[in-house]
Amino acid sequence: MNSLIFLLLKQIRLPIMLLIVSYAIVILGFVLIPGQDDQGNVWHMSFFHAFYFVSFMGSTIGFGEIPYEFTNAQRMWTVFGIYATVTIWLYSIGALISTLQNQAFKKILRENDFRKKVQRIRDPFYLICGYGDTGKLLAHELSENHILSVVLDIDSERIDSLQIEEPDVEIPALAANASFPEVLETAGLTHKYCQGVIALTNKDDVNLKIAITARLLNKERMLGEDLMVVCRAETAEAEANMASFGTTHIINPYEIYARRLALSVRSPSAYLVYEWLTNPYHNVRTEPVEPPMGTWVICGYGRFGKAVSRHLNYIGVKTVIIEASPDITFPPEGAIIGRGTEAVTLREAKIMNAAAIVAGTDNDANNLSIVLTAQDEVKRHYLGKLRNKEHINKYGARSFTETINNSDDLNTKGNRKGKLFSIARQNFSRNEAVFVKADLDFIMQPANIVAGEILSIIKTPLLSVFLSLARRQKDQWANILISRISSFIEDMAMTWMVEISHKQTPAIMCFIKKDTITIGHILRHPRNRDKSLKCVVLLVRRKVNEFTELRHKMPNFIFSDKSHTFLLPDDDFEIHEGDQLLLCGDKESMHLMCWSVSNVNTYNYLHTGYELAGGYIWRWIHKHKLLRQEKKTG
Amino acid sequence: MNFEKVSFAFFVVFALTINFGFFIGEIDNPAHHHVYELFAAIVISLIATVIKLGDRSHIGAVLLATSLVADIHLFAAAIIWGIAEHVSTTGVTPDVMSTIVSVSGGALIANLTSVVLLVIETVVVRR
Repeated sequence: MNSLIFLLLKQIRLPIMLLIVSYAIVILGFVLIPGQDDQGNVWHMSFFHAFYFVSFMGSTIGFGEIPYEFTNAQRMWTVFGIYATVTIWLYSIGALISTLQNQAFKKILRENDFRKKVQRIRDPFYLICGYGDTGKLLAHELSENHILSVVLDIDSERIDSLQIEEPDVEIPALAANASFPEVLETAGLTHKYCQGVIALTNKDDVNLKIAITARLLNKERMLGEDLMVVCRAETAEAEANMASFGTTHIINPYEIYARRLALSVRSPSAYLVYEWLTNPYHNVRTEPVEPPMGTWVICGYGRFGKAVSRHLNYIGVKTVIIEASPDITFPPEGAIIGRGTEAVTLREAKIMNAAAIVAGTDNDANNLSIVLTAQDEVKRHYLGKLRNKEHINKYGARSFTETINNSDDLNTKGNRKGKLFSIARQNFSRNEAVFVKADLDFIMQPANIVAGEILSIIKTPLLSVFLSLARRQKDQWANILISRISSFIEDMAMTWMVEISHKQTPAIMCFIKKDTITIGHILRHPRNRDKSLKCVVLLVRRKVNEFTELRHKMPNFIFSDKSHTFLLPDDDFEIHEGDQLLLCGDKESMHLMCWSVSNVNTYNYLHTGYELAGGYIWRWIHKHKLLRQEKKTG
Repeated sequence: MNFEKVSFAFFVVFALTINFGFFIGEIDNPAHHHVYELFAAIVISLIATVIKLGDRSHIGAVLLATSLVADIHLFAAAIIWGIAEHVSTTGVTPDVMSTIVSVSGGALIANLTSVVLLVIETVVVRR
């Protein structure tokens, strides 16, 4: 702030100097010019009177000629003085205002304001670099969950849009280049309450630089796993580079989506579980979508196309690539050159025989065009085949081979009825309305994927552990889980985490030393303990160096380096201090469970079935009653 | 040589010399201390202050501080003079004069410090 005042003064140094000089000249003139007093004697103005007179003259207040009426010589000097001082005043004020309006000065003002806001933060917060589609989504979700965030973006228009939107929690934002370390420091990278840095800019090298800066400026905190660094990476090289210096989470939307797509082909039920748990804000889809296993046509062999085709090939799905500029992307042999928006290219890729189309270019209009053209082409082909068949049925085949070909085609593709499984990549969220209207089976939205992934890392870190374990399970396992979850969830599936600790579950901590506590205890309904809550424990994570002998007893036990995890534990599973539980259920159950594990009286009822007496006196009476009962029974 | 440096040194030294001109003489003799000299000292001191604004270096900050001290002293002297002449009935007596001159002596020291700092900076830069 101090430097701000000095900067302002430096900017208006010339006007101030001119004011001083003009005042000095005019004052001196009045003192030197002889005047007359009321008796007609020669009289010289003193400096005091001259200063007084010039002060109200210069500011055009004008009290009149004091203390005696002026002589003509004095009046001439006054005329000069008025024009000199008033002009310079106007110039000075103009200079001051233009300095305040100056873009550079305004920028410094904003920066100062931002720095102060960040310094004043006294709650954990996340630093988000990049306020594009993804950053916007993430910042708003965080603010809805009452988690603070600080936003940096190089584009001042985006920052302005944030200020107009007015989220629930105030988000300090600055338009600055996040690849400069001092900018990151201003934004609170080294702040005590900074929980993590999330690099979401659309340039991999900027994200990389942010990750390096975060690592170097917070050496101790990174080692203690106090600070989380999350990066968005769009190429495998950047991903490997980021991983090499300890970036906590690297999120590659294309890789994630391709993996999910492969999962949905391989095991539709497992994919449904995935969707339920990661998309808590959408209505639950009860029937899994079943993508076909046939040949897939992939348009665009960029980062997305590469990831999808690799994952599909891995699970044994054949792919045909269509690529417009093969000299940049180097598609594999047999790729068809073209944009895919024209029917000719699609026909060349044998779209009539394909099971699915993936429009994965970086142009939204082209993606829609590809899908629509392909769907039309397939439908036309199918109708033509139907007509042919009718024709053959009516008039008989012209040749033997034609009949065989036709019947072959119709038999293999007959069940699809001219429908093509379509997936399109939507690059910009502003195009959402069009994509929703288009007849698409899946829409790939990179922004949503990245934001959802980061949100789950921040809110429920165990979820990603659970999902990676779930991916290795069989389809049957997923089916059982689905039937379990869908039995009690109507519209919204919430996932949340509970840690058995004094801070989060004080009620359980009172009992855990004396008694064994099982998952069944926690999941009882706090209003009626015979009923159970509408939720399920998905995963329990336990720190290592305890209970290693459990390894042999528990069938669903999975070993990992730092901690033990138990997938879908039963009701009689024992919990210990320090365990982290991942739960899934409806919203009401979430609130009820959080209540019962933190309120001693409620939990006592769940555990013992008795209502606990509240005050000291009642507790004392209760104790004596119990003792007497014990004596009677012996 | 550039104009900025010349004007800077000019005003800093000028503030000292003109202040000294006012200060020199018998301390309680109004004939030795003219009001025009005090006026000039104030104006030059103010200009010197404005010229020093905006320098972010440490020595720049100290220079500005000495100038502000000199300004305060000279203003105090001028206010005492004005009160003695126009408000009180006594006028400028030798008593009042000695007060005014001793206050301006404070400004003289501040201006002297300013010049010493200027010389030190010049010696350090050696260009």
